[in-house]
Amino acid sequence: MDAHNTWYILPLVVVISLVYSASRYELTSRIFSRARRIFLTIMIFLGILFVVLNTLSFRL
Amino acid sequence: MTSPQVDLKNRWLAAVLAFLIPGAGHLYQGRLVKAAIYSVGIIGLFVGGMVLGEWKVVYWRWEPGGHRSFGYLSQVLVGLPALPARWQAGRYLEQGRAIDETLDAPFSGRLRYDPDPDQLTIHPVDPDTRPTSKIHEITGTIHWQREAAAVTGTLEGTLDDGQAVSLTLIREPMATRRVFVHDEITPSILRRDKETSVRLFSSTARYVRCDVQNGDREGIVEGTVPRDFWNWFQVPLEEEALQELHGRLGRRFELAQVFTWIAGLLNLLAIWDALEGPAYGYGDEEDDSEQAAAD
Repeated sequence: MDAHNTWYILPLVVVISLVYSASRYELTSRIFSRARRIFLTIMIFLGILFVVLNTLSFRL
Repeated sequence: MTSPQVDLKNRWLAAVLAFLIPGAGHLYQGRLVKAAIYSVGIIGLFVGGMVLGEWKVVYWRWEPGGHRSFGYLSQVLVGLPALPARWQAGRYLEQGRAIDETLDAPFSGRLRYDPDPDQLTIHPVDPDTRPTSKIHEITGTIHWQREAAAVTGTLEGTLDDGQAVSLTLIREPMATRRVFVHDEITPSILRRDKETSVRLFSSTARYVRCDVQNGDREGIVEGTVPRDFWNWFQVPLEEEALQELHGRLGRRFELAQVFTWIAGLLNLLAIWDALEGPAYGYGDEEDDSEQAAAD
């Protein structure tokens, strides 16, 4: 996937985090704090995955 | 889990509303923040996917042994924004191959008169020296109706040199189907224009070709008439259309599909929330991690 398309992951992860958190809790502050945590977790996980795959495919 | 702090009102009605329009069920229940999150997030993701895929990613096609749009089973969970596809599939299948009984639409295309028969006899075989008629750009209004077994009609228009013409249709016109399909089209005089792509005919415009007569001169007109929104929106895509979209948009088309699938799956969470309330509780309970830290 080229760099341009990779940015589409951001709105996708934001919406997934928010909707998932909203379905878990009712309190607004809890929804947003939980969504922030999920967003960061997913992005860090994807970032690690990206680095690993990028390293493995170096000079391929 | 149904939280006693949350008034779900008529929860079944809320669930149905949440299915039809993401966020509507929560709006009915007075859970405004959630209504905003669900509607903006889910509808935004769905529409974003539609825009990325040029509004062609949502369709219903279910052919035993052939193409099946499994993705629609997820997309339809978004409710009303995806439901037209089911209805459009029916309209698509019901239409026949015959052209419209009547048509009255703006036309834009080209006109070429047949060469003078006397000149053709002078150059009967050599296509290089055979005289060819000038091709005119023409815009106007085309009208036809079927009377008994025959189609009669006219094309009132203006040529590129400003001359007004009234052309009579002398044979049954040819037109791509009313409801979007990726018909195989072989334009003749339009083909000379490299900017005229097949895609033009397959969504917002329909290809029309007919033999015409103007006094004692005969010729051919070829061009397009507009296709109504409801005759291309969420209509089943044929293999050729899918290949064309995949080839042109590449990964963007796949991303567009993923956006709409995920939007549908997320609305499932929203529907469940409208029906049963928040899954883990109200949210004012002590955080597990905080409790663990305290221990």
